[in-house]
Amino acid sequence: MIDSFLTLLSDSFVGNLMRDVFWMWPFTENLHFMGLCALFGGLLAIDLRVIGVCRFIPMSAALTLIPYVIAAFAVNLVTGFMFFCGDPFRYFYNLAFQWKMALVLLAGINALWFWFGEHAKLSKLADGVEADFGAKVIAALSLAIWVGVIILGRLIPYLE
Amino acid sequence: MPANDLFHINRSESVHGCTPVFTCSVQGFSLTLPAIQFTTRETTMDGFLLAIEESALGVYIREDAWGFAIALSVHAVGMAMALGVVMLVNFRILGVLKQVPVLAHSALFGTAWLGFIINLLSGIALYSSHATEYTYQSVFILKITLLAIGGYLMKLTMEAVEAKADEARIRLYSFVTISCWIGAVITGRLMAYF
Repeated sequence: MIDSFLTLLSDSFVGNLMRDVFWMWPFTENLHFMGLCALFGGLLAIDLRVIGVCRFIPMSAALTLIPYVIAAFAVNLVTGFMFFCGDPFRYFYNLAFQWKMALVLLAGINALWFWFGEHAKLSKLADGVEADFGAKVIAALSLAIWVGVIILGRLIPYLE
Repeated sequence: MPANDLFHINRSESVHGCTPVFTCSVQGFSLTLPAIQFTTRETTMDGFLLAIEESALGVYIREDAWGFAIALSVHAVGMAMALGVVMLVNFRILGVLKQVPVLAHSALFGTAWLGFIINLLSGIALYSSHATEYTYQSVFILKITLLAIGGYLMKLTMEAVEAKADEARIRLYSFVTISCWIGAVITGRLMAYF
């Protein structure tokens, strides 16, 4: 069942585009890199403010970066899906890819926890004031998980 | 007259160690130039590069099953830290991002420098594994050039911001800065293709 779905993706327009247009793969890779840098940069500003390293940044201002981070994630979701369509059988059974997706899912759950559990409290926080311990844990987890995602993504060609 | 009769470029083969030449002729006028070659002649530089490749670090990164993969992964994390912050600051200056004050963003420069140092070290490790190839690779040369220009321009941009210089000039600096940094990532990625 899963194999027929993978075949469907492979035979799709995007799958063919990724394989047949020679510059499509490196072009998409570069977009994926840009998205990754934007995502991580935005997270650094938010998470380091919450952890307390960058209390210089006003909390309410840092939280306005959330849409920027989500936009960067959207770029990487689309470009990532394009790679997947280009070679679905390679990715689906790749150990680094499987762990990477698990970590992305974990990062998503962590982000939801942040949004529903801490966001309202944090947006009322005065400039320069420390966040509570729970928020700091979420922020530290977020950075650690995304570093893991970047490393596992880079290891995909080496963990066949 | 067919178009290709107007313009000719011929390259002679090297014969008995003589310098090969390009002969370029345009409608009867001809010009002969030595064919400049950077890579095929043995130079003292090659001995030096070979020594780098044969160093303990170069051999480890190249021949260990995980050496190159780990160095590359670390290089990607450093890139995300350095370029992530550079993007934030420059997108703020260019008006893509709003609210957060520019100088508050520059509080993150410590993280960007940490990312830069991580990438300098992992970059040296990666370079040492294939020094004789990378040194002559066009995209690698371009990457290092763009990084040097981008790094210096980031400094100029922040100096202009702090001095409250003309808005148009700050934006021009910022635009060229972010273009150089993005160019450096693109040329770096393309090293796997050229």
